[in-house]
Amino acid sequence: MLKITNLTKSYGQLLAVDHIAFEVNEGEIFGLLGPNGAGKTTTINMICSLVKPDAGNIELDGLDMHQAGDTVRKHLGVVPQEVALYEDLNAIENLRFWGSLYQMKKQELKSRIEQLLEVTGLTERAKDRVKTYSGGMKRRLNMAVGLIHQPKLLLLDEPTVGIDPQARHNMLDTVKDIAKEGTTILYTTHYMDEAEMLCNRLAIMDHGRILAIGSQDEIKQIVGENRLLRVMGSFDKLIAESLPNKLKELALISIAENEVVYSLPVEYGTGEFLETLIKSGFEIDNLSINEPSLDSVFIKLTGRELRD
Amino acid sequence: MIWKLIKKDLLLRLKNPTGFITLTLLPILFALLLGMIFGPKSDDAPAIQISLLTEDHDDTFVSEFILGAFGRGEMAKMFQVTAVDSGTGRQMMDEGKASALLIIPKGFGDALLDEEQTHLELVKNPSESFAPKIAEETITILAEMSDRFVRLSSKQIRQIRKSIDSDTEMSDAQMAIMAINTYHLIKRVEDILFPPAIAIETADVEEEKDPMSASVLYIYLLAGISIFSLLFMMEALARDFFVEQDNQTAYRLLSGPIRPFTYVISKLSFIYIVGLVSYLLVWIIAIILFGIRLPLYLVPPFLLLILVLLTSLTGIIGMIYSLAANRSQASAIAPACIIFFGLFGGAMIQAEQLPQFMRPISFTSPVYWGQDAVKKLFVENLGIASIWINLAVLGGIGLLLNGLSFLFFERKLRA
Ligand SMILES: Nc1ncnc2c1ncn2[C@@H]1O[C@H](COP(=O)(O)OP(=O)(O)OP(=O)(O)O)[C@@H](O)[C@H]1O
Ligand SMILES: [Mg+2]
Repeated sequence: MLKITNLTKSYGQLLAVDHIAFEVNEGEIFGLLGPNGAGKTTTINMICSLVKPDAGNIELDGLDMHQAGDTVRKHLGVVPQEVALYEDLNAIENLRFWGSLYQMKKQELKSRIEQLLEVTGLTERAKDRVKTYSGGMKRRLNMAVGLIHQPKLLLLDEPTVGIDPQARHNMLDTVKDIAKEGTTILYTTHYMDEAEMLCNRLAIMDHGRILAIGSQDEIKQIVGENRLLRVMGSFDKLIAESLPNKLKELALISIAENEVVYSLPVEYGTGEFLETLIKSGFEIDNLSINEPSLDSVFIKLTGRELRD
Repeated sequence: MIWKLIKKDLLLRLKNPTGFITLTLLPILFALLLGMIFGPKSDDAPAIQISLLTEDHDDTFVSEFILGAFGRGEMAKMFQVTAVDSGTGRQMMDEGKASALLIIPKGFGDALLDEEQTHLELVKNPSESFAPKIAEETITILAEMSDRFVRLSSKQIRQIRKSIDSDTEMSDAQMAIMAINTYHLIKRVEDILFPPAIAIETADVEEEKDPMSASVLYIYLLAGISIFSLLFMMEALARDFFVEQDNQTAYRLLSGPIRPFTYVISKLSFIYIVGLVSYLLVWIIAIILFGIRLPLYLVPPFLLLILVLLTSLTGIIGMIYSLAANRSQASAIAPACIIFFGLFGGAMIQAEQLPQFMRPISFTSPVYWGQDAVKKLFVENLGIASIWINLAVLGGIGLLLNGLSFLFFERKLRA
């Protein structure tokens, strides 16, 4: 449905998005997973033509953004990272205004508004000014506005940032419901668990690049049936690098001043590994062991934890 | 689509109406203020009317003089005098039917002529403050005048009285002497009597307020100040550009079916329309309240002028906001620009009075061309041919600035 090729954007020296390519298939929730500054919002903004790409193509259902931008935008629903609503209007007025921009018929708009208020649980507060809403309510209305015209593709940019766990749970349920109704969703997040919970397929993004792409299983294959072992402390860098020579199942993932990450197949116990570390003169401050998961994929791919 | 956006802007403004209305009233407030200070009173404008009841218990020529004064000249316009029967005045006052009741007691005239102490009685309506006060002032002046008149003419008056009292006929010679004396007397007191002092006072003011020059002054001031204050008002409306950027709605609009061009044109149209309504009201007020006249055949050229003028003013505002990177830049640039255009456009000092080397600068200001055209239409009553150049320059400035601001906005809104 959505096909991105070679998409690039730089701000001065900074390559915010670096030649990325991915496809979103009809009916799925596609996740774009990456830490702060990965380039997720920039990617979304290019898709909805808020930001002009330096290079690359965006196609929706075979329609090229360059040639048919207006048509493409009509089929997109955008839920921006920051709440974008008229706070002096109430929920109904907001929905009515945003809906009116898509030439919806009056009756159709009316029933869609009722439906969305229901879905987002805002029916009771529908006539209060948005100003008076809680953060979570604003975020839900923010999402409802993106859905008002029944878009083919919904772009959701970190919809759960800054809300409490309860509201977040609600939000995720709502997203699932929307997907069940047949809306295709491009979902960006820096929460691993959200990606694991929601997404059929996903791309892991960091520093403007896509590091891995595929279904959850496919992506977990990257780490394989490996544990990630993350060692913090002081050690000799050369010795740390040569450790896989001593323990041949061990692989070096990344190394920094006081931190080194290895991967080790699950069938091997960690006892031998620890022994080797100590023998090699490591002074261990902290050691973490990650079972195979998106987390460990991320660490394997970037050498960092997602929330760093 | 543009209309939907404008409607939304209006809806948002009306959600907080006080600020919006205060803002749009700014130019109108100036029109009223200037009108009250400098404006001429239109002939048919209802002046203040003070209803005065009078009871004349004295019934001498002195009392008649005092009451008669209310029926002459300026006083007649100001006072509506009703003579009532003795004793009924109080009751009417109690019913609140008049602003004041003047009672001239029996023997008032005689006492005055005999130069004895006497008094007038004035009953004021307590529920009114202004009108009774004026009545009081006026009557004090009249009483003073009567007193002075009596002092000046006491000799003659006594003579007349003597002849009336004694019922003896005067000889022709006596009559002739008296006629001459009376003539001299009248000559002497003429200044006081005709017209009465109060009328002299208003007449003085009236002279300054020669209807023609007063309207001209008013139009001159209003033409500049109204455009100037309009710019301030429109600038305040333009802050919406940053409001929508800050609350992200601008970006949401642009990520939907709205193009930057549509967005900008809707915002500028809103500013244009509100400015237009406000500016029209300014002149409607000037015409209705302050008697400014525009011949009917000049109404279409004037409307055309307003449309074109507003285009150029919108251009200035659009330009400022398309160039300013953020709120604080805009709020620094905008007043400076507006004061610049206002100053050199002659909103504060007539452009003609600027130093010679500054004159060319005023030709860049829409304020100059706008007020120049207003003067040509309202003061000189010249036809549309006389303002073609103004229309062309204003239209040119409007096209150029609006065009540029669209370009700059496009660049700013699509990173
Ligand atoms: N308008 C801009 N001008 C300059 N740099 C920008 C601009 N917008 C984004 N960037 C930079 O581009 C990079 C990617 O930013 P982006 O907002 O796309 O990240 P993100 O993945 O959405 O992060 P977050 O999770 O914090 O929202 C960042 O380094 C950011 O500083
Ligand atoms: Mg972001």
